Amino acid sequence: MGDVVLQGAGLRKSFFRAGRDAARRFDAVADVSVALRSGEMCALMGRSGSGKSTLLNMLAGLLTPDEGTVSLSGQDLYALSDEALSRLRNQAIGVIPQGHTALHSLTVFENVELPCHMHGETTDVHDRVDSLLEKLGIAELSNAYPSELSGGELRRVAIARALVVEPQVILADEPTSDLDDENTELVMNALRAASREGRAVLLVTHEQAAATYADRVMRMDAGRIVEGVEA
Amino acid sequence: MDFKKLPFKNIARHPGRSALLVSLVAVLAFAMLAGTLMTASLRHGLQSLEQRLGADVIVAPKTAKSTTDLEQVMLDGVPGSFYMDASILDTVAQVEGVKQVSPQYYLATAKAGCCSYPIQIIGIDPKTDFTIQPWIARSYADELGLNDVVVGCDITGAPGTTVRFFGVECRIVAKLDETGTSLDGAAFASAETIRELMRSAVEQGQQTMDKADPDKVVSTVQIKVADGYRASDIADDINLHVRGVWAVPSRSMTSGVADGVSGASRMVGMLVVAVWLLAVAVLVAAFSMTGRQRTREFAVLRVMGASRRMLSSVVITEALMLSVVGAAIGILVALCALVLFNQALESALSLPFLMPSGGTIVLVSVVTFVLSSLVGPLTSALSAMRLSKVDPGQSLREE
Ligand SMILES: Nc1ncnc2c1ncn2[C@@H]1O[C@H](COP(=O)(O)OP(=O)(O)O)[C@@H](O)[C@H]1O
Ligand SMILES: [Mg+2]
Repeated sequence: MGDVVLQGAGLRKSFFRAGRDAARRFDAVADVSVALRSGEMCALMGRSGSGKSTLLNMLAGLLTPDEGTVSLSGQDLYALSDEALSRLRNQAIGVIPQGHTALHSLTVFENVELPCHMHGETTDVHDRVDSLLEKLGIAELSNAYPSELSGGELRRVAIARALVVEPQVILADEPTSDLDDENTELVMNALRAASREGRAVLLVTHEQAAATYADRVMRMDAGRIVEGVEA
Repeated sequence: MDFKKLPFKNIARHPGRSALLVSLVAVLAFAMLAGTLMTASLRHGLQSLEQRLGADVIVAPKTAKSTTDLEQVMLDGVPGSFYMDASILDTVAQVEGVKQVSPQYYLATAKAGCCSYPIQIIGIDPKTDFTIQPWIARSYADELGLNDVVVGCDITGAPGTTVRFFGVECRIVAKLDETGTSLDGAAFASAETIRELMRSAVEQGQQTMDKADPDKVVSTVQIKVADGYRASDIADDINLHVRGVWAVPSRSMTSGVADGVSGASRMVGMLVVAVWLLAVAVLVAAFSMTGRQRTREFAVLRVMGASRRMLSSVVITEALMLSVVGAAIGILVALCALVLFNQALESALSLPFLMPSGGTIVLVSVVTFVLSSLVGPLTSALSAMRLSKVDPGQSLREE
């Protein structure tokens, strides 16, 4: 197992929820600390509403925590300017958000290559995208638009898009929900391969089967990690 | 694919939305430009009419008040002939407060060689005239010789050709600039020339001249009032002391037209403001709805590593491209419409209507272009700013 790449410490995020009497704060994530290591594939499980997505977003630099810090290779994400954080996320963190997230104005190819063109040019983008699409079995769809794709194919596009910049960390939020077995296996293998290449992978899921691919399984309940915190 | 191409892809992949936004901006630009130019044309026309009627007081024979009305001749372009004794000129010149006088001679043609409709020929005295000459001077620098005529812009016949009036061959020496008034349908000649035409008309039995000697009549006397005197006082004075004539301050003649112009301008102005408010409201709604609809797509761009500034530049570029195209279309259509329907508008409004100069049109078009191109980008910038205040992790939840 490699070094700790991404570390969340004492993370807390609370939201208002309209209660019976008045609006009331509640902790979606309460005092959570996690560490992701390079080359490790880590599964985060828990029932719906337990705070998994909230935690993942905070780790991705997409949601400012109320308390605690997230550091990537020692760099405090939320201390950075928007410009610097965006650049860092672009280059070092591959996020696969929940749901369908392809840009509808762009073809599959353009969706996948887009992250490479955001902060300066990356070399051999074309080959990299081609081989990723090949690996994920969507090479023939290169010129198709997202509206023409199935759910499983869209999910694979999102994965290719997260992998294309070869980030140190991959954060995947329920990448296999509503996929059939065949597609689930494809997606899981891709993520596993990414971790074998030395990336730190966090896989959020509520499917027991998916967890079998992971090196470590964490369980979350009511905003806290109740099992699997690194010793 | 360059990131900078994203706005163009967005435009191309949403043809319906893009077309709608372009049309909205086009309506905005059209309303602004067409409205402004129409109002300006009306005011310009009024100004030009007042200049053509350049005298402060006009004296006409009393008969002109009832028969072929002076106002009809001056304002509506109905050809008319009326005369009074030439000695009135000297009498009026003696009135206190009168600074300058100049006679005019009116002769309505029957069917002349040049025109299938009757036109008004107006004779002036080149030595004393101060109303028509400055206008003629813009098209023709020399003095008007015998049998020379200068024609208004609506009269057919090019400079250098000749026309026949009552059997007299007249040479068209120049064509005048458009005034947007009835004078565009008149011809102008020196006193000398018009007397000859009058004699000829009498000989041919086309005119009776009220049995007067063409050499001893004038139709109107144009008066310039000295500083410190009021035109209405002088008109009253003349009406009181000079028999057989009718003096009228020209302001009172044009006041009806001026009222018409300000009424029409106000209506056009209100229409433009209404269209603007409506179009701006729809545009603001459309461009900010664009933002809300695409909140999730923007969040996805942030997930991929786009900074706030990059996102703003995407939406602003998109809005700017659509707006620039829309504004250009609106302006082109407005300019074409004004050129095509200029005449129709003029006769529909029955008010003097004179397009402003080319320079003014260009200026107004540029201002219109800039203003209507800015609404979309500004709205989008604001909604992008509002959007980027929310963490992308939050907006991702909004499916
Ligand atoms: N922006 C928000 N506003 C209010 N409540 C939220 C917001 N985001 C998440 N929550 C609430 O926080 C809890 C955890 O949500 P989430 O992290 O999405 O759970 P999970 O991904 O484990 O299903 C849920 O009860 C959810 O309703
Ligand atoms: Mg979730």
